[in-house]
Amino acid sequence: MKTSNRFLLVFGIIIVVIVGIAVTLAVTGGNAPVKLLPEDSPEGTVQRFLMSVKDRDYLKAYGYLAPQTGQVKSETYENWIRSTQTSRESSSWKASILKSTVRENSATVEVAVDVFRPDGPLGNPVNTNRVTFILQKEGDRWLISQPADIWWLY
Amino acid sequence: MSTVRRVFFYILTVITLGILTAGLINLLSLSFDTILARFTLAEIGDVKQQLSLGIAMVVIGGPLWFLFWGTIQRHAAKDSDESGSSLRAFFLNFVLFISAFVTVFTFTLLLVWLMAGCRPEQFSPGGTAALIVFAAVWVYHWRVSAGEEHATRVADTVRRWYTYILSAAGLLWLASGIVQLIYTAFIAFPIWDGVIVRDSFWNSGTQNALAWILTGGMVWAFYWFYMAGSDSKSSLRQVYYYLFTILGGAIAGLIALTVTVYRVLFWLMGGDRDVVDYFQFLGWSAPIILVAACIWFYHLRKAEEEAATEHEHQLSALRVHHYLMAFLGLGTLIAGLIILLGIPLDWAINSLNSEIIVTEAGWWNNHLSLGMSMLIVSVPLWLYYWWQINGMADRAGAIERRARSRRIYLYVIIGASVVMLAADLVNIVYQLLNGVLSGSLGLEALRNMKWSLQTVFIALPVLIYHLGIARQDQLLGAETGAAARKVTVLLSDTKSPAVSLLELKLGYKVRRIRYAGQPAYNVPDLSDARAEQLAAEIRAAPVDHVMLVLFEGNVMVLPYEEN
Repeated sequence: MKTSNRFLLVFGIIIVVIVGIAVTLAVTGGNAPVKLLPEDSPEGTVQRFLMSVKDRDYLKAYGYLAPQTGQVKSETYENWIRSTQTSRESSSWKASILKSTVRENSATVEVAVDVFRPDGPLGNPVNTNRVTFILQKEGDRWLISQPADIWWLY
Repeated sequence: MSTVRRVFFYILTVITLGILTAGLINLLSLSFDTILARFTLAEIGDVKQQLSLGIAMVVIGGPLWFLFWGTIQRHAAKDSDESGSSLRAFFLNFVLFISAFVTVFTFTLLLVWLMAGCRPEQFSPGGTAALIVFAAVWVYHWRVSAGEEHATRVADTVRRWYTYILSAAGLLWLASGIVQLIYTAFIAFPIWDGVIVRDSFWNSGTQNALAWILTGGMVWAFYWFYMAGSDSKSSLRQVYYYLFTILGGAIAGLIALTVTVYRVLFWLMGGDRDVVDYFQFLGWSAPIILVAACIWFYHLRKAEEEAATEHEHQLSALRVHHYLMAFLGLGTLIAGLIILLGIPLDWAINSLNSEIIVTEAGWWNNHLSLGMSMLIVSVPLWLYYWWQINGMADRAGAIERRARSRRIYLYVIIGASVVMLAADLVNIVYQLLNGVLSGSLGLEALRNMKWSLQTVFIALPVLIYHLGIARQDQLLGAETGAAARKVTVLLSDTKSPAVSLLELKLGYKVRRIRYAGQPAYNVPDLSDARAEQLAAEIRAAPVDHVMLVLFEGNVMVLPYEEN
């Protein structure tokens, strides 16, 4: 066998291995449910807000926004829902908490949102947006004051 | 007339022609409006302004155009070199190019209006006026251009550019019109769920598609079959074949095929099952695959037929096609592998990071479907063409390995891999150093270098493999280049296959001169072994110049020197 053909065979095996690992991980381990964080924590509030957006339950998501502060103050639900309209077809996303800072009545939660949207060959199909959610405490609940719109899905 | 003076006259002719054309369109448009009685009393002031401007442009632009163009025409009538000169060719083809495009677009508008039922309120006076005026400009300059004689090589090339650009545009309009029409028909089928209001199939989308099919078809047929029909040897035609139609068709078809496989796989894995009418994408992807395949196949066959007259041309055409397709296949294969490699890397990062708060169900399936679809399309494509290429290299040896298309293919891949590796390594080292120096080396750094890790793992084996091929070629003499002699062959039939065989053995072209005496001698048939022997004799010649005389079964190899 020629050297180049031996190389080709090795690369063929590498390809099969990559495909095998990718299929196994994606089919078996990839779709495991995420752990729910406590609802009365800033991280838990952000998680439930994002989960509501994921499930397209916008009314529920709107309930996690602080109504009397920041951007939300001047917006009705109808206006807000209009601003959330985005092309969701064939794109998916996931979110991870990078860092959170909690004070007595305010908190910040830094989140990385990875949006999958193929953009030509050899282009990274994953676009990572870093979003810092600012929350404030109202009674025993944490509510998001910024950002109100969901630009990070684009 | 000096060149500067000629340039001056041609530029002023273009400008004054523009003024005259705009004035005529203005006046014609106004006439249509008047015939259709579209004015109200309140608008009469605007109409007067439009009329005044139109008349002024025609009155000033017309005589000036006659003056400048008349001067050029008189000069061309006196000086035979002017007719067919490069500058004149630039001027004529520029005017033809602009007027052809405007005529096509306005003609399509008119067709749409006719198909929509000729409603007076939808009639476009400006568009129709532009159609009439620009069509007249095109016809006039076309007739002038058709009467040109003794065209220079540059003038011929300019003419070819005009022809092939219009031919390509016509083909594009025709193809996109067909795809659009099939898509409109596909979504109009009464099979889709949840449709509560359905427009008639005979809507503006259908009319537009039909108009573009008609216009594009006419333009393509005219420029391809009539204008470019006899131009079988130009380099620009090869560019049109291999870079526009064959490569373009292959890229469009492969993209549509990849998207189709990707979306079918994604659906099979459970993604977007809730999306109503998910499979409507087949309405555009299937016709694109079909139309692109037709364009690819037709032009490939045509290019092969034209190249068949000369063995070396045929081989070059075949070679270029094989390397282009292998390149496309390899590019898609690399892209698919990079995406698939992202899954284990992503999984590893997620395993280290316990703070994932949301994951959409389609996240993993999307990656897997896209990567797999690219592999499904690219692996057979690349393997087929790469196998063919290897077979050619094994059969033809150093000549094939020395071929320019092979060298370009290998060095483009090696160069791209090196650049990709360098960029990836810079990012990886930067993230590592930055992490170490700022004391934050960890998950964040890993996230930031993930894409670089994906690409570096794929680019490295690609580089190693192709470097190995290049090295092997080098050892077999691909880089040394043949010590080319200046070979002249004297024979009665310059198209003899014996010369092509000799060129193949030598690895370079020879000069052919035809014996014009009587009687004509038969050119001997060369066996493969005899051709190889002659090539060896030429290579061993003590001087650079060698003449071969082929007549009646004899071949004389005569090294000579020029004083």
